[in-house]
Amino acid sequence: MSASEVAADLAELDGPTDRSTAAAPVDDVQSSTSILLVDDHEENLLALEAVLEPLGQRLVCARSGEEALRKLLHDEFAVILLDVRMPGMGGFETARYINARERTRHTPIIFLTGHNVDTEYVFQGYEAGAVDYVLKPFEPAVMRSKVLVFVKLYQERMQRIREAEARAQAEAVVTTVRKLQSLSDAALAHLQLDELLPELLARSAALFDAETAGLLLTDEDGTRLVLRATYGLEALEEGCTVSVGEGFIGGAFRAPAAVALPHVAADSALHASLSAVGVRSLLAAPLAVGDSRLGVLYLGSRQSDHFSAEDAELMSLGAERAARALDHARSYERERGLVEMLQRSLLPERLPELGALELAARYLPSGSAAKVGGDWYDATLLPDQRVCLAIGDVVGHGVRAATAMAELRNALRAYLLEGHAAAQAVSRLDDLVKSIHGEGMAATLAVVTLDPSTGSARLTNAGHVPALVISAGGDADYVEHRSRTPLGVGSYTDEFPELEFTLPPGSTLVMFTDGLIERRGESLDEGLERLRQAVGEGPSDLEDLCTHILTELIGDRPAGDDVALLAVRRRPSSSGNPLLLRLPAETGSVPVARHAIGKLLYEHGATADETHALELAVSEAAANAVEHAYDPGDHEFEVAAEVRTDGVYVTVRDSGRWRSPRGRARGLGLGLIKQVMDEVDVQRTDNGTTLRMVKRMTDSPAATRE
Amino acid sequence: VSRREQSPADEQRPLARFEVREESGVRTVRVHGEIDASNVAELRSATTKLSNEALGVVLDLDHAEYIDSATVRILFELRQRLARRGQILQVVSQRGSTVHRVLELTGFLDDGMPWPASVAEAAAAIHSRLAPDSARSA
Repeated sequence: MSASEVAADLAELDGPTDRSTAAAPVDDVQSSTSILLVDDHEENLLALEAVLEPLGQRLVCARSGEEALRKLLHDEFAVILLDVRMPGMGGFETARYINARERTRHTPIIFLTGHNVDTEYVFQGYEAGAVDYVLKPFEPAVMRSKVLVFVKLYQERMQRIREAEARAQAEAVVTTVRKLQSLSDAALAHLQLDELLPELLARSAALFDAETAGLLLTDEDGTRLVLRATYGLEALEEGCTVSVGEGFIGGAFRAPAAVALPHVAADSALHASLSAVGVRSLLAAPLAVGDSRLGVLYLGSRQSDHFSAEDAELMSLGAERAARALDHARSYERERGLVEMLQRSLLPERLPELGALELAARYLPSGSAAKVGGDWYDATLLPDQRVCLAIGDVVGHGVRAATAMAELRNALRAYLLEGHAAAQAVSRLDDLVKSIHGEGMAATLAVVTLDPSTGSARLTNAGHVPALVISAGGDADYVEHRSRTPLGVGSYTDEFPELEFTLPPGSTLVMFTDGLIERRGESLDEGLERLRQAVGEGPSDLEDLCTHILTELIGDRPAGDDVALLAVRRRPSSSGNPLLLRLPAETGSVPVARHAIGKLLYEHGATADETHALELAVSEAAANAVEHAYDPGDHEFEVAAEVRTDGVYVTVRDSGRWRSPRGRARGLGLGLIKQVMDEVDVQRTDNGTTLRMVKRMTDSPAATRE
Repeated sequence: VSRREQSPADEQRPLARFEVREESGVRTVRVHGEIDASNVAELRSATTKLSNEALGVVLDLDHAEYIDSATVRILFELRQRLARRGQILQVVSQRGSTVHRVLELTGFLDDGMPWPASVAEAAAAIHSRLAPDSARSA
């Protein structure tokens, strides 16, 4: 390699050559590599300089070991040429010092010595850290090439260091970009506006190390900015306003890019408030998407001049992304709000109150505005005291699906109220869908009619996902049922099939739409199983169970599709009025009343003894009521019973007049009642007699169902 | 704890069925099912019109599922009526059963009445006009 080549190589390098000043700005560094020449003879130094000058590197001379060490304190050298024989500190000793120092440990040393030196010396030199040995007098070309090797090595090393630094710098840039991206990451796209604003502020404040942040959006007519969210120091109340153009923040609204304010002046009420909590400098950026300006994002610091020009540039980029997220959230909210409102208005506002049944329902609109609508449920009381439970999903979304859903719901109600059985009603709906919508519409639907007192249920399914039954003990199983195709799709001449099943007391029927169980890349069966597992571990309270199901299956992720969920439980206990009978005042009513209470107790899992006690008491009370009526058949009496957590409460009321017991055996009935019941109270008025009685249960059957 | 089995078909059946048998001066009335105010008259007719020569009546409640105060009232009456004619009433019921419990609760068993463990024992007691002591602890 020629000297000019080396010089050309070196010209390409303009990085720092001195690592002790590596932190200095790039343009300050020396442009060449340094070589330290150590010799106590001035003529030798001159000779070395002459030989090495063509390398074009910086040559530093030292006339003793001590001076060499001093030079090494301030400079960094690519290579050291060290004379072995020097007065005072000799070459080897100097080399040992050089090697002992952390910073110079790896600096290569070439020893210079007389050519009649013995090998002992050479080994001593290598031991002292020499990389090479040059015998005096030296051949200039050999000397140069030897030195050049180390110069090149050094330069390559420095290059690597610079690259590493550049990489670290690049990484720092990437980190910043990543932070910037935090203002536009995908998760933000799913946040509602209320959640998005604080999130944007927190992320922006973290990005610029700001102590406070705020976001203002324009009002309706675009003349004022309204503070919609704040972060950090509580300086401002949300809702306070500033005119567009007023002060620094108001002015930033129309600015082309972010602007920094190194010293806050109290030139608006807004600034005065910020100033009052110690905010000294501000950075504000307009939030704009295309031509439309949405508002202003500002950051505040308690330090004057906290935000640099670079910060302002970065903030402009950040604000652009934030504005896009904001715009997305706003339009999304508008669209979604519309369909959701429509959808919700079509769902029952409250479910009917049914003593023997507990109902709970959920509707979760799709996280994607384009997919809201079409899922529905309904629960209605039929004239024969049965309850109709329906759940359906109109294929498609948006306003059209929501209106179609309303049609179906109303038609189903009408058919059922006319007295059609569920299967008939569904068959008619199928015809209706075909005649009105032709090929254009399909809808799945599952209808269950349920007798709350017996639990007898009938299910008809038109292409809908199966229903789940959870036993009182918590075992969950799907109702196996042959489902037909969705409404409007198949061509059947016969009615839809019906499945009869019984919902035992304490058990729960869960109906839902496919949005609950569908997950990308998962089969329907996997989803069904996931739901089955989730309900098995679920809480017993019905409302809690619905919440649990949604948490387990949907969680925080936005639902891809609408989700409707309807849960019905036959009450095992406590509240409600599970038994209310009005019976004619004749002896034939006595076994009716007795069997009814027996059934109630049986359903609550009462023991045989408890059941017998209640049967006996109710039977006796009924017999008394019948006896009180002067004209059998013309009167009615009433039996009401309720199983609460602490016992069974029974009331038997008649409209006749109490007759005093006659003869020895007359008081037998009431005597028996008093013996088997814990509390008995008889109230006699001119209008009739009311007998109230309670059977306490320390171990309430309602609480001890297996 | 046992749970009672019950089926909706119960409603269709007559509440109680009475099997009446007469053998060597003893009428045995076996009750299947339930007796209450609505059908207690059937019990009354099954136990009346006993000939003067008869020794007594064995009422077998072993297969009865339910009795109430209306039943017990008939039993008090029946016992009194038979006693006036020198005849004996023996009631058989399973100790620990709900039927037995009603008889206890109404005091029907406290009247110093011997308590047979089976129909055979009850008939034998009528024949000997003695109450078998061992049966009490059966």
